[in-house]
Amino acid sequence: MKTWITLGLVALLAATAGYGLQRYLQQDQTLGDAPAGPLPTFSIADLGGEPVTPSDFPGKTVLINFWATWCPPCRDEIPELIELQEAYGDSELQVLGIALDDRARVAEYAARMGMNYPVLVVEGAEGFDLMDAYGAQVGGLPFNVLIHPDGSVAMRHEGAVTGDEIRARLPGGAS
Amino acid sequence: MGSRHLLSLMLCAVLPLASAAGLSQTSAFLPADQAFASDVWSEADGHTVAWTIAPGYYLYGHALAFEIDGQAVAADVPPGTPYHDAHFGEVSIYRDQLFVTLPTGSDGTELVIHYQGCADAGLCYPPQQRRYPLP
Repeated sequence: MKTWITLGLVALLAATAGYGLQRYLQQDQTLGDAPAGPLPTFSIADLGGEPVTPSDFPGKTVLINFWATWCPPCRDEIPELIELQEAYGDSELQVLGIALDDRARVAEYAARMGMNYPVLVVEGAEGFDLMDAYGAQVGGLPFNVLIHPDGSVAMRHEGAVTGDEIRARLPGGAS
Repeated sequence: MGSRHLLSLMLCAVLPLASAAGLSQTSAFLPADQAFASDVWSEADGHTVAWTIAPGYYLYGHALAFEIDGQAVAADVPPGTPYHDAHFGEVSIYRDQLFVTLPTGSDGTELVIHYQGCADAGLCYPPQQRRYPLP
């Protein structure tokens, strides 16, 4: 009996250590579980004036990217987000950019970069409130939230994130 | 060794590891007030604004601005470190500590300071504003 208990504890230790080590090696800026309660939702006009909500994309994983033109790491992410939308946008993934910034500046930047996904703009402080509601902790940008089609939060990430980190968290672990 | 002792030993090993691995919800970044801790004091020759900037964080020189009772005030800002920013171009940044003096004659009841900065690890804070009563 004692042997089985010992073996069980060793297995638990190994599993926990392995998971912990994996998370540690990822130099994780990914936050833990989302705040309790239902996910917040929104309806925000895109650059064309059309309201967009996350539920407009049933069956898809939605990546909500909070960003601003004055934020260098946010701008660094944009080409990768364009690439992700290009690669997976037909069926699997929908990128939504929420710019906490001046509308004219965002429109100019989006056109220059050829952003191929909806770009929503919030000019007031309520954009940061929305970010907090999704679980941001220090109010900095960029902040990314990846939501699977079943509504589960696959990632909340403060600071720059790479395309590979997002790909790894798509439902099929796309590569 | 009894199984109870073995269990205690293993839990002692597992729990710190799980915590260090980021299973908690703590952000890797500091709140703006800790990344850029500001303070203001007044002396006979004017007011001093000081920032203590956490390691791995920096302030943009071009984002510094000062108002007393709603009026912009010129400040004596020391030269920063040249930095090439893909968006802002050639700019000055400040690390570690920054002291800015507002000259004598800039009197009033309230000082408002404006600043903005980022973390090297890839996070930028929105423009910050703090208010300080003046003596």
